Amino acid sequence: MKIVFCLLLLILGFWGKRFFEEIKPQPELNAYLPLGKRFEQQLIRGVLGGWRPVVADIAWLRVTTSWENRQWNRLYENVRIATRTQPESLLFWDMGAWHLAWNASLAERNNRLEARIEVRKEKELYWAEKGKNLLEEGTIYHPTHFKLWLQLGLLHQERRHDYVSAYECFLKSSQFNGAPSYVARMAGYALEKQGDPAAVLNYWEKLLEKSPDRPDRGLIEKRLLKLKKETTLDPLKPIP
Amino acid sequence: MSALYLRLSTLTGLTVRDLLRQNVLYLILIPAALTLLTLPLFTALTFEEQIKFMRDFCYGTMSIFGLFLAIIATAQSLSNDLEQKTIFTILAKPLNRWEYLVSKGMGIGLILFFALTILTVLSAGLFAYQEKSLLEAAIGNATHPLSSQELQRFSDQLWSPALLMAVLILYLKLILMVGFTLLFSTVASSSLFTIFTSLMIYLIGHLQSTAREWVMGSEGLSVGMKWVVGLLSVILPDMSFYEGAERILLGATPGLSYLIPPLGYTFFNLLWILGLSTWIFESREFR
Repeated sequence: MKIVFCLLLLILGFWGKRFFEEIKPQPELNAYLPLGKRFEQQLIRGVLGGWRPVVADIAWLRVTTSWENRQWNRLYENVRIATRTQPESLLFWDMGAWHLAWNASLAERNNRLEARIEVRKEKELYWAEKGKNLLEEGTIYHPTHFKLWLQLGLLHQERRHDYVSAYECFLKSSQFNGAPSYVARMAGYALEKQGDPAAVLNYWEKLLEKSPDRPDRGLIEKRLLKLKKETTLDPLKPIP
Repeated sequence: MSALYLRLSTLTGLTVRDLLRQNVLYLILIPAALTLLTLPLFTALTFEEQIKFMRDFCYGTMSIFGLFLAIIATAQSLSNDLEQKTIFTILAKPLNRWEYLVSKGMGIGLILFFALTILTVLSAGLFAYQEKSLLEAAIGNATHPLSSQELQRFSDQLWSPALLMAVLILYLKLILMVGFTLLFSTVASSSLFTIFTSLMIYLIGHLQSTAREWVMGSEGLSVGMKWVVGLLSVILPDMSFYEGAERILLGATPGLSYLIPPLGYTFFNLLWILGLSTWIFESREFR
């Protein structure tokens, strides 16, 4: 009788467990990552337990002190620890890349202790590249968040003057949930810098066509009119 | 039914009293509280970073010390009864062995609930203190005074009711660990072995789902091996069910339905654990 009772509990328990595993509603954190990276994350989660975010946060506090002391290599190491330990936190990718591609990079450009301009330039580009690489890795962990794509677009545009990549990133960012309306406009501005007036006009028109109730509709219409005048195209005729 | 309730409640009360007498609770709760009290020593640069740190730190402290309490208290509880021979007195009474195991689990569950409640209240106090000092600093900041909107956002993020849900999910996770530790206690005679095995199970539980997917997806694996892996995955816990707490810490504000999967998963796991541990415990002879 007692064995039957135990068996019943076992069967019911296993059945219920399987049932919940099958109807598990949400994907695991980082479920879209390659298996190797996921395994790494689960291992860190298991070993550090609840302290995992705390370890990441303490590394992040060290990022702030490194920034204040202008210790860029130390800053980079701590950004890597924070992003590796808790990659789900968008803040680490976003701010970490900002520290590298803007703070470290510009500090090296304006470093008066280094007399050789070419060395300064080299270091400036080095940190800008590090920031870009970090953001690109961040987009693997957050593929559908507009913020990292927006930052990557800004980095391409402002630090690398690569307007083709900037346009692609802004465009991608504008397609995700929560993206402010200006992101789509930034894609248009990046496209303008590529020097293809027909493509630019086409982009703006399509943007208005796709979402006619945009809050920035007036701005886009003005821009469109100005561009049509500049490119000597008839504003009343459709774009070729 | 009332006799069963009486037996369970008496034994649960005994377990609670025994755990309080053993000082396990204080030995874990006091360091946890002291750790929490170091929170004001950490100051981050921005409000966003500060809120994240405060949430992570309090949750992390509860999680780690809660895990130690769940595993150590459970491992100690059964082995102490064996060492002090109190188990003979208890099992000599008209009592089923599953009742003994359930009341042990319930007693430890109560102790855990009590510990987490204390740590949650302490965390709330620290949140209020930090909020006050941060706001004072922000108001005194002439270069970047905070707007009322920013203040509201800060307050909302800090006092999100979803954080209580995260603590509840953590509690369910710890209860599952109590169940596993109790299962190992019925087999092992050494509490050290039980503690070590339970910690291993905790680690494996985090890796289980990814490892299973990897093994099942790999080519060239024999059917027998896949059966073994399948069987192991049925027995081992899947800790990804409790990842909801981490999502909440990252800013998610879910509804109550969020609790159903971890609640159901914990309940059914406890059922089979109870079945198996009763089976083992029934066949065990005490001398």
